[in-house]
Amino acid sequence: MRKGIFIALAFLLVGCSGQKVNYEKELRATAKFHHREHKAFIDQHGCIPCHKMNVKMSWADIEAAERGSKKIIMPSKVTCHYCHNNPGKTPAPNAPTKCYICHFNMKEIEPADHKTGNWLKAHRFAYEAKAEKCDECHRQTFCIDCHERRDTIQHMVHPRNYEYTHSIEAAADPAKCGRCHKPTFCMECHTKGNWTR
Amino acid sequence: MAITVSAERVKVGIGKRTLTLGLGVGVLSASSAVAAIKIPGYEAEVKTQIEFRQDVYNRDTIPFDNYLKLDLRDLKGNSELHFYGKLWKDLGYGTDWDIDLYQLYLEVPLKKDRSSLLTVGRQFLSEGFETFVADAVRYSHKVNKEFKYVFYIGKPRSFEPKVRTGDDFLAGFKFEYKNYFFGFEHLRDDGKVKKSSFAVGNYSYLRKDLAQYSRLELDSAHGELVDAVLGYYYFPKGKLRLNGEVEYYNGSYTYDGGKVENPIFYSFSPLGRELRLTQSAYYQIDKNWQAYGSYTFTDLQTPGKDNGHLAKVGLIKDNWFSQGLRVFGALLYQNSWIGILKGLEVGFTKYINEKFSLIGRADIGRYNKITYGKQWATAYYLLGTYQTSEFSNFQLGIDFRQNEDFDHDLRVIMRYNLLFWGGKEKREEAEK
Repeated sequence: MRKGIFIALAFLLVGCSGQKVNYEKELRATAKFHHREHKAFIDQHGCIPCHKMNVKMSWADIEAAERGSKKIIMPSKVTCHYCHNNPGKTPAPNAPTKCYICHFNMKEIEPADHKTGNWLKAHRFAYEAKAEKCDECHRQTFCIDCHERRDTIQHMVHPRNYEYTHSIEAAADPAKCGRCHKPTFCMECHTKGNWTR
Repeated sequence: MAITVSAERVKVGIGKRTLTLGLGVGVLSASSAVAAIKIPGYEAEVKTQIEFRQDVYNRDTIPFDNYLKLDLRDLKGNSELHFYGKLWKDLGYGTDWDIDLYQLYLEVPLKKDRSSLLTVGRQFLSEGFETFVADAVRYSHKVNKEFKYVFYIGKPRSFEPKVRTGDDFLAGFKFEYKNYFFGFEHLRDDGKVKKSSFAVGNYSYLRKDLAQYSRLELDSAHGELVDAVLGYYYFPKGKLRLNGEVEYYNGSYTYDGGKVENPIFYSFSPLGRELRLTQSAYYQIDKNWQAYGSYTFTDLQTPGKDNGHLAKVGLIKDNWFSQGLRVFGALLYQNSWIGILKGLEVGFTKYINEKFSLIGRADIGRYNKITYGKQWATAYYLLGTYQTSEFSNFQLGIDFRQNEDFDHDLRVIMRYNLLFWGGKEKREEAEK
């Protein structure tokens, strides 16, 4: 069975990789805009609501002029977020809010403090003091996915070996486990010798 | 909350597959039905996933989970309804159908600018203490840009197996001023007071490149200092990011009068106090390479227990924009009174074309435990994502794990994800 699956995946990989990919074009987060999905809006309101023409430019500074041109072509995040990330106030409650629709390189929009290696533990302090800041990008379901979901298929937090090796970390830093799990979670395996649902 | 479909406790083979397919189609049809209802605005995510496992016990375990996230917006009075639930069954074990309802709440703005909000129903609560999903009423009021307060009362729910939701109760408040907070929470577990805690803390940017945070929690019901944290973030250059913190944590409040709940769990020493020091760093070496590392030292203040050391250093090579490839590798070291783990993690994400991408990962661990001696633990994971449409994809993954104690564990995972939305725009109606 294992062999068959690997062969199928190899075929899929070869079959799909035949085309030449322009990564720069396809993976640039800001390039992902669905004009077709906005057709009704464009037909009714035209281009100006997004591509504003109020940028000052001077030929004396060609670099500034280029930046200005980009500004005209590329709407700022405020323009997009006005409809797509403006809970309760959006003039388009039918507009989807999932970040990955446009920003499909999520690493590019990750705030600096998220990248420090200890964010998984330290994010609570940022949330406690100013929850609004987190709410700018995340909704409750994002928190639930890690804090409450006990999904045996998807590995949300721990590495895949964790079932075998967790005791060393649990003994080194037991308070860390208690942040998410209750003692009964541990007891399920430790008293019965297996996971049962 | 068991659903009785168990009459269908199918024996083996075709019956299960048919049932799986039927249910998958059912979930999708239900989603389309939601889409067909005329409501001002809605957005939904459907995820249906199944895993076939071949483990050392040769149990025919086949977990089958279906998720639905649904947000209905711009209802009467500009209120919103949020739903998040899971319908699941283990087709292999033949368990009953079950539902986990994570979220079903109504958010009612009491002021037009939404500065004053009332949320009623099952919701996620995290107001300066632990996190809960609770059947609760929550009121929040943002007085101005710098001052906000929240009051809440409810009954916490748990989704971990075998955790009984007894006579639990939760109530509290939190005030936020600038980047400081002050909160109180009273928590009862099965009729007994678990804690009545006051907490105060902050998360402030002292300069553009320096943030500092702190937290102090006192349990007035047991007269204990539960938690004290002091930490910082420092970004001296755009390329370097540092984080450090020191924490004192007393987990003994989770037990009634210091009574040990179970001797096995006690052996992992959650009871008692712990002092923890963590340092972590991230450095952008050049356009493609990044380095990261973290180290935690813990002092377990429990008789007979030793210190703990957890360390990790790694490298990331990010060629996402030129080759659609991101690769990482890290070395792990963990040391506690129960043993030592030395490990290697490597993985990649490859964008092949707009239809297909791959994620792979390998975890190799060599550990030496006082209970088992020296052991290898390895895990390999490969997941392919095929874009079936612009807003839906199908995933197929293989997970293979091997360990001298558990022998082996092979899993095949299939998942279908769908995002859909619709409704009417407000401005269209306004123009009419």
